[in-house]
Amino acid sequence: MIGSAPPSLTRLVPEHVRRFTAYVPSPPDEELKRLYRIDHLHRLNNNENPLGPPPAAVAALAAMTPAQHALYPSGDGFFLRRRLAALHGVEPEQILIGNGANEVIAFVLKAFCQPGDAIVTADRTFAVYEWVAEFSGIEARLVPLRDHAFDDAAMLAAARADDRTKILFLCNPNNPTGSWWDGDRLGRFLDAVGGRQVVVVDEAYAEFVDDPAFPDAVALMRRHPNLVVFRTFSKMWGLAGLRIGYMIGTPEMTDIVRRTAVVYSVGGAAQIAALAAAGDQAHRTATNALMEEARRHVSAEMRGLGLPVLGRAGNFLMLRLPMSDTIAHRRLLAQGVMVRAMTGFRYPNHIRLSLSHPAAMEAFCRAMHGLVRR
Amino acid sequence: MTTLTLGIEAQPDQAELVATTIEQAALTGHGTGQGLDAAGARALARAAEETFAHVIARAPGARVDFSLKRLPHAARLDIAFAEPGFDPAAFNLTHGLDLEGGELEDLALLIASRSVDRFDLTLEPGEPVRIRLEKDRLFPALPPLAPVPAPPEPGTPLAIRPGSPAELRHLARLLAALHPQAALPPLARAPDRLAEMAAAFAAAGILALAPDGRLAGGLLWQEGEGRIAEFHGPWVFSGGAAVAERLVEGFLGELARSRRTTGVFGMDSATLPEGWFEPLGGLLAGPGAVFRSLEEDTGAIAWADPSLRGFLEQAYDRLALAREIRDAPPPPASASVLAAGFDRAAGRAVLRPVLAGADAAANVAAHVAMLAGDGIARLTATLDLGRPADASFIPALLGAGFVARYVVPAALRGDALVLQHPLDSP
Repeated sequence: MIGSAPPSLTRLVPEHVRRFTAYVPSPPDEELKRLYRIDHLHRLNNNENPLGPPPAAVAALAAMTPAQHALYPSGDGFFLRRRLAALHGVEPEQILIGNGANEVIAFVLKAFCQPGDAIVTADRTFAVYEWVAEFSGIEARLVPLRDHAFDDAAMLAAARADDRTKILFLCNPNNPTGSWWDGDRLGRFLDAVGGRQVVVVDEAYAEFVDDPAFPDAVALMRRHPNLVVFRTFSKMWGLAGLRIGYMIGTPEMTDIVRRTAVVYSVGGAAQIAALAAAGDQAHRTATNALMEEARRHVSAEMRGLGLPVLGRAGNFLMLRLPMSDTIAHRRLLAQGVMVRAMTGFRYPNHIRLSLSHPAAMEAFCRAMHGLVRR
Repeated sequence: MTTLTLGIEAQPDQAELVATTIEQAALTGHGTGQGLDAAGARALARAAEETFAHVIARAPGARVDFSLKRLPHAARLDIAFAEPGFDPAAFNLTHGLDLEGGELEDLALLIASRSVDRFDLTLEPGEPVRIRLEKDRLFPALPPLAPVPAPPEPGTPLAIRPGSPAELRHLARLLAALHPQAALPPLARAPDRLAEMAAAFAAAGILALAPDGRLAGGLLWQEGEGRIAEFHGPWVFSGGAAVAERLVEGFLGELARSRRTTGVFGMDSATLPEGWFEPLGGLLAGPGAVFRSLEEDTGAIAWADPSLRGFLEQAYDRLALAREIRDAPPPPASASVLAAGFDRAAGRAVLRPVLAGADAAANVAAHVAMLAGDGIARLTATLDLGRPADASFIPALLGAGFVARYVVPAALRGDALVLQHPLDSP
């Protein structure tokens, strides 16, 4: 029988996709415990809220009936957008919800960029801006952090290098360094951009900052219609498992982004829980008190071990180790503590720790003592 | 144009067309003038001709696809064909080789492998046979830098950034002035070759540069087709351990989010900063290998044979890797197939399992006997412990004298187990 070699699928794949391999997320807890032969696991790698969702969200989820799950949800988060609009002092049409803020990142990139365009962001920040750009054929221009914070002058210089830059992404507070720009600095930055590019400010961790100097992005948006703000329900609001986030923009901005949005991508349970959770100040206060206590305790313990500690905002902190973070990650996992190895954030020999309950923090500190003294 | 493709039926009267077309394209570098030398082009054409003859003999009439690619440092010829009814055992390089009787039959593939610098044969069940032949371009020798420029003074502010092709050429010339050729990795031995590879993104380097362009250090790497990048260095000319650490940090930062490379692999050296890499072990009479994962490793299955369970358990314990070691199922009664990769210039060969079979012991022994007499100084075998079929070769390899040396985590579908045959030992 005569045959010919079937053509490789690879020839159909664009070059900018060919360069990537698939991201492999960590296995479920039960599988990790089996592989590492451990009977408990403190998952401190994803910056989730150890208190979970606010009580009203828990109750709203519990009240859902099976019949509700048989129905498509509101395609654009009808009630949720009204609630969020009221909280932020904007109109509902200025809100666009997505299946986690990650999906909204993709919406914005698709709305403004095409292959050959560029974005500007930091080299050591949340990876998804860079990844979504690169596998969409969009160049990600990465500006080094300065003193572990976004460098406004360098970002402006990168954006002005040519006319290909369409979007500047700022993570405020920055994941993983916890640094943040205040309102004055963000305002000066927007003035300097002068509307030539879209400026996305990802405020996934904004609710963990109580400082009045933190930017009022909505107020800035009135002067700077090129500003887009991202928020998420995955961090402060404890709904990471339901995947829901949103953006706020001017009506014109949101209309443009909505053209590339996939409707019905946010499930009904997510919308109902988010509606109940949004703006729960008691939950926010309790969470921030827990974070503050955990930060104080772990920072003191780690400094006692001689390890530099980074991070003044957010529900996480970062440590510099005298060893490879990827092997530290494995050795800590073997002790039942899962942290984030930071080589992937371009912080080799650093780990990021999600702040949590005292028992989890104690387990982490014990494991770190063993690791460093090894 | 950098790639020439040719689809043709395996018939004797087409052989000359194959050879002529490939020789011309290789010689002219697809018309760019950056091709092989005449002898090199002829050798590549001969290898193509021999491979084509092999297919004619074994699968007459099958369609054979040739793809000749101009690389910055070499010409690469990929040959693929599918013949579902074909006996894959014919793709053992030793097929038809009667070692005891000295008979040489059907050795086209062996001849082809001898004509080129690198030869690779892969065969996955249900996939087309793929053969890769590479012949290196010749580059004129460049004199080392003379006089050797003084390195930056201590305290000079240094920029750590990827080097341009011209800067990497400069690094290679500086290295040639400071080190004997044998002490340098092949990647750093030919400055023009390195520069061309860098221009084509086939190699890269990171440099520590003073404001006036003087070099305080450098590190080179190549991303292969697997998930591991191989690095060389760091070389430090001034600034000591702090510069070495900055170079390593910059290097890791370049690859950390590439989503191509999941780990880096290199050889231990006095300049490697402490605490950044994990020692793996090493080959006999060679430096130790080091590794660093760029991603979190949260566990995997490793297929093995009970005879190596102890070795693997120790290795995994030392590396703190969560692995579920499973015994590989017994091989099927059919014939086994081994693929062989050669780096003729370095005198190295590596065996890789393709298909498990009941005759694995005899097959491995035949390959060892053939390679021992074929100018190979270093023979290793690489098993993908993510594939049960690979692990079923372990008893055969150990029986033929191979010794397990080290494991490279997550280098292939699973971990790569490297075994070495002490060819030069009595």
